[in-house]
Amino acid sequence: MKRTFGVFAAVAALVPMVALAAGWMPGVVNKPSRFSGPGVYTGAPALPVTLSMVIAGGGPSNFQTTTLVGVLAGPKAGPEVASLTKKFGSTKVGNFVKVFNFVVADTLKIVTAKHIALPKTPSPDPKNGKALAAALWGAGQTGHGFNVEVMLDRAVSHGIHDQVMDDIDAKYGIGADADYHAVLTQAMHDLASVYGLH
Amino acid sequence: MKPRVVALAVAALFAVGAGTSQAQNVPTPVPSPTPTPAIVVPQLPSTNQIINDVLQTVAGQVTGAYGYNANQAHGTVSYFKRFDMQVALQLNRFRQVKLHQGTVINPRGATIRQGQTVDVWGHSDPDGTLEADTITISP
Repeated sequence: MKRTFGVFAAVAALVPMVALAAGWMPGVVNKPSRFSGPGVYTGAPALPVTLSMVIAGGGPSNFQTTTLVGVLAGPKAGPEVASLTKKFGSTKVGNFVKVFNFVVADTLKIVTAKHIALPKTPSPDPKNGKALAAALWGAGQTGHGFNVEVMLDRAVSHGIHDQVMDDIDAKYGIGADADYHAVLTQAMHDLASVYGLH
Repeated sequence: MKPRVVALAVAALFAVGAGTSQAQNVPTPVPSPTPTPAIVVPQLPSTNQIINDVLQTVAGQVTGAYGYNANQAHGTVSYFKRFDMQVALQLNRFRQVKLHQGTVINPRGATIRQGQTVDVWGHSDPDGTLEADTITISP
């Protein structure tokens, strides 16, 4: 009996070691996300960061993607938009801007319907573009690099993120949804380079 | 005057007739019938067809890599488990791929692993998932 328990204990001790060996961060599982490679975050959302992002973009009722990019990139916002346009083309960048506006509006609608209380205080400071970029970059870490969908999972929870994607697909189509994720991924990588977050 | 003309005409006629009769006397060799071998002409597609095929293949690979081709995806395996696969395309695009029992994997018997470059052909589901009929792993 003691021996059986000993074997069981040894196996139980190995399980977290195996999980650590796989290298995924706590709450992140090795599953394919819908548009952005492997990594799904199933833990609790980091709502103070989300609130900071929404405020940086102009607030819940007046959120604009371009305003958020302006805060995040600061004086480099213009060159960043030009770089994204050169890489993806104006149509895809236009889809990104349009869909991100919708994402925030739709998320707030869902959050309100679900009676989820947003925190009173944003964190980090929504005026601090570098700190906000770093917080969002950190939210997208999987243990195997950055994944924009893990960032969105951490921002609003995986369930709401999924629901928002369904709404995007219904309103704008899967192609525009894929464009939004692709351009946002690039924008986050560019911000990480600018601020030395890699 | 008239008899002279007639005589000349008759003389000329005889001369022509003599010439013809001489030619008829020489036996002309009759060509012996030779059996013609049956020549099989290969039915090659027209040049335009070949060019079109090449263009379509190249365009298909390019659009597949960029995620626009509904029936094809070309990229790197970012996830693979049983019947689920995800392929990383160009410009941060990813494509979900579903395998089924009849999916052909080339080379035969090869195991798909993360990081491999693959060319997937199949048909698209309404949600954009590519139902794979053939997966070719690049060497």
